[in-house]
Amino acid sequence: MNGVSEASRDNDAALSVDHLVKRFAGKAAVDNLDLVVRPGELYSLLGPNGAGKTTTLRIIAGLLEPDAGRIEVFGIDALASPIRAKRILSWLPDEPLLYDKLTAWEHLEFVAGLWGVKRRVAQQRAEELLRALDLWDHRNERCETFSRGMKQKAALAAALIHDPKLLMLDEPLTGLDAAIAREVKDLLQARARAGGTIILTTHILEVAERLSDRIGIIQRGRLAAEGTLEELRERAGAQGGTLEDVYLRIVNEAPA
Amino acid sequence: MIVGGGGVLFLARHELRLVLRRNLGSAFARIIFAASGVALLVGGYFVAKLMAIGHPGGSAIAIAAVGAIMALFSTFMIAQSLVAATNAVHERSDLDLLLSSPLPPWRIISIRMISVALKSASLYVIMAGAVCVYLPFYGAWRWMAILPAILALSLASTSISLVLASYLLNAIGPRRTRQIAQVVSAIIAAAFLLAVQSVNLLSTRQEVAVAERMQAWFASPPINPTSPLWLPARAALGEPEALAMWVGGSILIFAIALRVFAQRFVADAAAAIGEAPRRRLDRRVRRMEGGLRNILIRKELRLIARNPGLLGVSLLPLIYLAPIAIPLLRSEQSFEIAAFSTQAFIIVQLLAILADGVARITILGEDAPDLLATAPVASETATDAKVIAASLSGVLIATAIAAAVFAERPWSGILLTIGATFAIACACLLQVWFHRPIGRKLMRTQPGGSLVAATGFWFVSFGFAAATALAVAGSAFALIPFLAAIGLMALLRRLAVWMFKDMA
Repeated sequence: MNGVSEASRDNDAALSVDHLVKRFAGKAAVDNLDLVVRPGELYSLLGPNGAGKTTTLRIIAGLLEPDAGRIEVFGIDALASPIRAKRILSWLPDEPLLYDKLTAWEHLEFVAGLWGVKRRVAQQRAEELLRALDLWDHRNERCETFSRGMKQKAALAAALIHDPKLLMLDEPLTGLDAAIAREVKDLLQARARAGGTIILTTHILEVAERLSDRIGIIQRGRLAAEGTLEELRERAGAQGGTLEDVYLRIVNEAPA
Repeated sequence: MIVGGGGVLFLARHELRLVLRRNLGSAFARIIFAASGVALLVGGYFVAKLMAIGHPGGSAIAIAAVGAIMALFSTFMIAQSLVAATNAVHERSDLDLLLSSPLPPWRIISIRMISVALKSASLYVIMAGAVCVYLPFYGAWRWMAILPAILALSLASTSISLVLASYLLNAIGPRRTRQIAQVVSAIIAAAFLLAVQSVNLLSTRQEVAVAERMQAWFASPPINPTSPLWLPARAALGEPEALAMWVGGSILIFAIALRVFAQRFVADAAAAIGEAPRRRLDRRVRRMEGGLRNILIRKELRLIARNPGLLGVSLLPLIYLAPIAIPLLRSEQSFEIAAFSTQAFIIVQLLAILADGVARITILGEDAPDLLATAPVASETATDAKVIAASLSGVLIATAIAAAVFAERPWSGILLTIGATFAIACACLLQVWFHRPIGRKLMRTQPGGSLVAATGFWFVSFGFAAATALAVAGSAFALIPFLAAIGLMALLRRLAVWMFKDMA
C-alpha cells in the first residue's frame, strides 16, 4: 500500500518510515512498509497478531536492525544516527521495563540519567508524572511490590521523563483496569493536545477510535489502509460503521 | 562520558546497586552475609598471620603451585562468564530499556561485561580480601599483589569467554549457542576435577607411576619461570614488573575481546528473538497420547530437555560420576573394601545432587501452576509426575551402576540401590515440601530457593551416603546415619507443614 503513505508523505514528518523490511528466518515480519506520522498527531497502528506492529516499533526504537529501508525521526536518519534519534523518542513495550529492586523514584532517576536529563529537571518531572499517574504516594516503594497497572504507569512515567518528541506505546492498555486505563488515556490525550506525537498499537479498537487522529492498519508487515476514521470508512465502504466494522472489512479483504 | 548521567560510572553504580539489592535484599540475607564476613575476617586474620611469617619469593615450586591454583580459578571464571555472556544476548528485560536509550551500545555492553568479569572474581576477591586487610599491619606488602592479580585473571578469563561466545554465536547462531555454552561451561568447570579423576581410569601400576611423576615434578618443577606462561603466578607472588605486565596485558586483552563481542552484540540479540524453534508437530502430537500421568511425566521430561540451564545443573554430576563409576566396572580389579565404601558414598551423594537439581527445575521452575491447579488433575498426580521425571535420570544411573556391582558383590549392589533410592527420593521430596513454583524465567534471573531445604538436603544426602558407605563395608553402624537422615526428614516435613500452613 505504498500509495497510501506516498499521498501523505511530508518533509516535516515526525516519523517517516520508507520501504522498511525485516525478515526472521527468511520470513518477512515487516514487508516494504511505508508510514508517515505528522508532528502532534496521535497515530494508532492496528493489525492482527503477528502483523508486524511490534517489530516495526522495535526497529524504530533501535532494538532491531532492519534488512532494508529508511527511518527518519523529526528529520534525523534513525539508522545512520541512532543515538540522536533515540534522544528524542521513547518506547514503551507491552511488558513494562522496570527494575523490580528499584523504587519508582529511583527507577525514574535512573532512566532520566540514561537520557541525560539534568537532575533538578528530572526530579521536577518525576514528581509531576508520579502525581499525574497517582503514584506519588508509592514513589519510595520497590517496583516488585506494584500491581500490573501500577507497573505499567511507572513505566509510562519513565518513558515520559525525558519529554520525548515521539512517544511509541506498544499495547499500553493491556491488562489495565478501567480506572487505570482512564488515567493513561487522559495522560496520552493531554500530551497529544500539548503537541506531543504519539504512536500506539492496540487491540482495543474503541481506544483507537476515541483517541486517534489517524489510524493505520497493518497486515502481513504491510500497511493495508491508513487515514482518519472517516477516510477509513469511505475506503472500506462502511459509512456510519464502527472502527471494528471498518477494521474487519479491511483486514478480511487485504490480499494474502 | 564518565561521571554524568549515562556515563560509565553512572552505569557501573546502577549495576552495583542491582547486584546488592538482588543479593542482600532481605534482612536474613544481610545477616548471613554479615556473619560470613565476620567468619571470613576471623579466618583471614590467622591466615594473614601465617603468611606474614615469610614469602616464598620467586622459587620454582611457589610459581608452579600458585600457577596451578590460578589455572584452576581460571577454569571456574571462564565457565561462569561464558554462560553470563551468552545469557546477556537472550535476556531482553533491562537491556531493551538500556539499548533504546541514547547511550552508545558499546558502553552498555562494556559495563555489563565488566560486571560479569567482576562477578566471576568476587568469591576469590572476597576471600583474598579477608586476608589482605591484615597484611599491611604485618608489613607483608608483597602478598597484597594477590588481589590485583586475581582481578586481572578475571579479566583475562572473561576475555577468553567473550571470544569463545563470539565464535559460537557466529558459527552456530544465538539459540544453539546458549545451549552449547551451558555444556562447554560445565565441561570447563569440571576440567580440573576430571583431570584429577582421570587417574581412576588407569591401572594400579599406571596410577603409581603417575603419582611418582607428579611428586618428582613438584619437588623440582622443570619450569622456566621467565616464560610468559608463568607471568600470572609471578604477578600474584608480588613481582612488580610481572604484576604490571599481567594487569596491563589483561586490561588490553579484555578491551580487544570486548570490542569483538560488542560489535556483534546487538545483531546477535536481535537474531535471538527472531530465531524460530524447529518444530516436529506430528511427533509431538503422537507423544502426547497416553494416560494422564504419562502425559504429565512427558511434559516434565520435555521441558527438562528443553531447558538449557538444566544441562549445566545435571551435566556436572554426570561428568563427575563417570570417572568414579568406571573402576567399578573394571572386572579384573578386586574391590578393596575401603575404596569401594568411599566410591559408594560419592555415588549416592552425586545421584542425590543430580535429583535435587532436576527436581528443583520441575518444582520451582513450573511455568503454569495455575493451569495445573485448574485442570481436572489431582495435585498429587501432578506432583508425582514431577518427582518421577526428576528422579528418572538418577534412578537410571543408579540401576546401571548397581547392575555392574551386582555381578561381583550382590549384596553391595542391593545396598547401593537402596541408599541411592532413599537419597534421590528425599532430595525430590525436600523440593516438593519447601518450594513453590516461580517459573523458569525467574529461576534463571533469581536462582534462589529455600535455605532450609538446601541445608536439609546436604545433611540428609550425607546421611544416606554415609549409611550406604558403612553398609557396603559390612558395618552395623550404618544404621546410625540412616536413622539420623530419616529422623531429619521427619523433622523437615513438620517444619515445611508449619512454614506453609497459611498457603494450604
